[in-house]
Amino acid sequence: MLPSRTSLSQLDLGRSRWYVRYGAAAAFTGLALLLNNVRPAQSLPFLFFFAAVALSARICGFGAALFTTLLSAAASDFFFLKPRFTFAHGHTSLLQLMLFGLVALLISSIAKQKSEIEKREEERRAQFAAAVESSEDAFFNKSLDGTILTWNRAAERLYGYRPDEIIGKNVAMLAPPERVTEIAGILERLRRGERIAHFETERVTKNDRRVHVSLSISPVFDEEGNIVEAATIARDFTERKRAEEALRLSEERFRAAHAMANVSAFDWNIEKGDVTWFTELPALRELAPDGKFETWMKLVHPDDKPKLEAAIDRLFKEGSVEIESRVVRPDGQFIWLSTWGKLYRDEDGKSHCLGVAMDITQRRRSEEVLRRAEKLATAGQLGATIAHELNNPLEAVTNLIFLIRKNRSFDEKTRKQLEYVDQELARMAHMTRRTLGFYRDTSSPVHVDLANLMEDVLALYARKLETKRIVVEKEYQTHAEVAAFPGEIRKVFSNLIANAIDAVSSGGHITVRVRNARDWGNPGHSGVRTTVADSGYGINSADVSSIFDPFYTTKKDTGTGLGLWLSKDIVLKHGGSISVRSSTQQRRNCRTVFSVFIPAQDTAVSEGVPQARRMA
Amino acid sequence: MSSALVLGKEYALPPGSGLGKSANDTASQKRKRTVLILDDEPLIADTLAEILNDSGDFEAVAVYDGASALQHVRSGAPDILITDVVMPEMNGIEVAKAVRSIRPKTRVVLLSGQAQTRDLVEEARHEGHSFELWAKPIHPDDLLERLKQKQV
Repeated sequence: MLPSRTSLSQLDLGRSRWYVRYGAAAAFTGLALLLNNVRPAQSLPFLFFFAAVALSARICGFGAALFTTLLSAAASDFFFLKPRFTFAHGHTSLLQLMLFGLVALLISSIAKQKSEIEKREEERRAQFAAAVESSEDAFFNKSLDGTILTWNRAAERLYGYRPDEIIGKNVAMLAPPERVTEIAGILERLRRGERIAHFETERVTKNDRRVHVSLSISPVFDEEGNIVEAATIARDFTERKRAEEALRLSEERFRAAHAMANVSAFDWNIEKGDVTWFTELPALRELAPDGKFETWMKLVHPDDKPKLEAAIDRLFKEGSVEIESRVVRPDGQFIWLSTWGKLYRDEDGKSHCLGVAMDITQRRRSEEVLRRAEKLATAGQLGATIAHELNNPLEAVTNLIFLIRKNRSFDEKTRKQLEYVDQELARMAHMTRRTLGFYRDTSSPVHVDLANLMEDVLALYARKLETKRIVVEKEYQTHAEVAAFPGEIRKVFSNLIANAIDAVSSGGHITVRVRNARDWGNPGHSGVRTTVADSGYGINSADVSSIFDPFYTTKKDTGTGLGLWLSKDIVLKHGGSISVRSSTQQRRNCRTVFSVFIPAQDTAVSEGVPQARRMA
Repeated sequence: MSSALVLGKEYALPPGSGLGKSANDTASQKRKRTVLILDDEPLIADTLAEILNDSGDFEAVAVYDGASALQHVRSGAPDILITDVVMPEMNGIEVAKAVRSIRPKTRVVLLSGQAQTRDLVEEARHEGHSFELWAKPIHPDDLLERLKQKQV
């Protein structure tokens, strides 16, 4: 790993053949002998021999060092100890030799130990290198300018480059184009000695595949503590990323499904009083921003509070509960919630209620509509039955009055009264026929003069108009004819007139116009426009927008909320359009104007049914 | 426009273009047209007969059940049969069919206060009978007016 520096200390013959080692040891001894002869070290006569022993120990191993010691001792004894060139010496010299031997032995053993440590170090390094090579994680070194120096098998597997393809190249080639600048930043941080841990990024493989990698990069120091290179471990987490993405997607779908079903799960931490919603019910958005249970309880409809409190008691007793209750929004609208809750304890032993709430407002509303429609149908049936029963006596009475009126002996006053009786009977007959649906009498449209029809309707309401002293202004154009179902159109007119009468106060005005016109939305259609304007209290714009909706009524006690809805239906069926314009501002005689356009020829079938237009 | 059953339509039609009735018409102008009135409620049948007789244009007889009506038709067939539809024994349509079998040219006016009779009439029409269906109650003025108009 480290750049090799050639020096004597690096030279290692420890694993060489024995004769090399011992030869080298002998050579060192010879060298020491030579040096001692050239420049005798008088004060320390064994200095060069110590060096020879040390070198032998370092380079050639322990045995060679012992060998050097013996040779050196013998050489010193023979050549330098007095008397020279003999092995027979005195007491002092023997002591000197023993001392030399001891020191040499010490040097040898130290050298041996050191070499063993180095050997072990080397083994460890080799093991480490093998581990790196076989690691599952990609492992590579790079210099501080980004040049790749080493490359393990896992790196090859991850990035696809063989070592010979990438060593010596710059690491920037692994980064996707948009992330190349990231490399410079990493190298800069490494130069400052920082360690980079679990840096998640994207890299590109040899065959252009993108991989999500987690990089851990450490600077590598040399012996002097300088940063020389950087070691990188790259872990592929593309799979994990994919799993995370799949999880995120499935969670998103889960939320979407919940949102579509108008369902949300919640967790109520009973001790803390916090309610956490897992998804959001649109109708409940921002109703309790603090998420406190208390705040939610305040929103519950007063009528439902006792029921809800009882349900909570039951929850504590039985462990689970189900309830339908209302929440009142600040705008006064009710939200019907069907809630299911179950008690559980969290890991700390605290009580929670896990639940699901479903917004069933729509369902409740349609149930209500159905219930009312059924009630109306029943009422209608009852009405028809009664009308049946009334028709025969009515016929008889009508005939009798007719015969009585033939009698000329009555005075003027009685005749007048009998005439009223006759008129009232006619009105009754009209009503029973209407109830029976005798006006739905044609199976195909017939020519109808809408001015005549309007006159008929006004006649029906004559008494009511008179009682309220309402001034009716009429503007009829002659030949205001259309092809229509007269009974149906009569219902529409009747509805508009009845509404106008309800709207105006005593002495008010109703203006009725019937004239030939063209459809505003479709100028190609000619037909008849009928407008009914009244000087009543007007309709505020909020009501105008839903006035044609079923069961929408501003007459809380008396209205069914069906009149205008049915009218719209009838008009659309005729291929026409109905619209309303109203203002609550003072404008003489026409605060509310309903306008009905019926085409001269029925176009509904051929051109589709146009929508009712609203002008507000 | 052959459907005489459709209320209101008959008004819109121009007079004439009948089934070669001119001879008949001139004859009926000389004599009063005879009307048989059948209703299970005597008060209705009687008052109607009186109203028609009073008008001076018709000779009306009131009966209260189908059997009497048929008996009457056999002795002298009327020009017009005015009958209620919903009755206990024979209903008006059965009576009308029987009358037509005796005297095919009889004009038949069904008077009904019940909406569902329309279906019965429709059924009869499919069998080839053209009956007029008028809604009850009908004002006497209206009744006379309609009777004076020609049948289509």
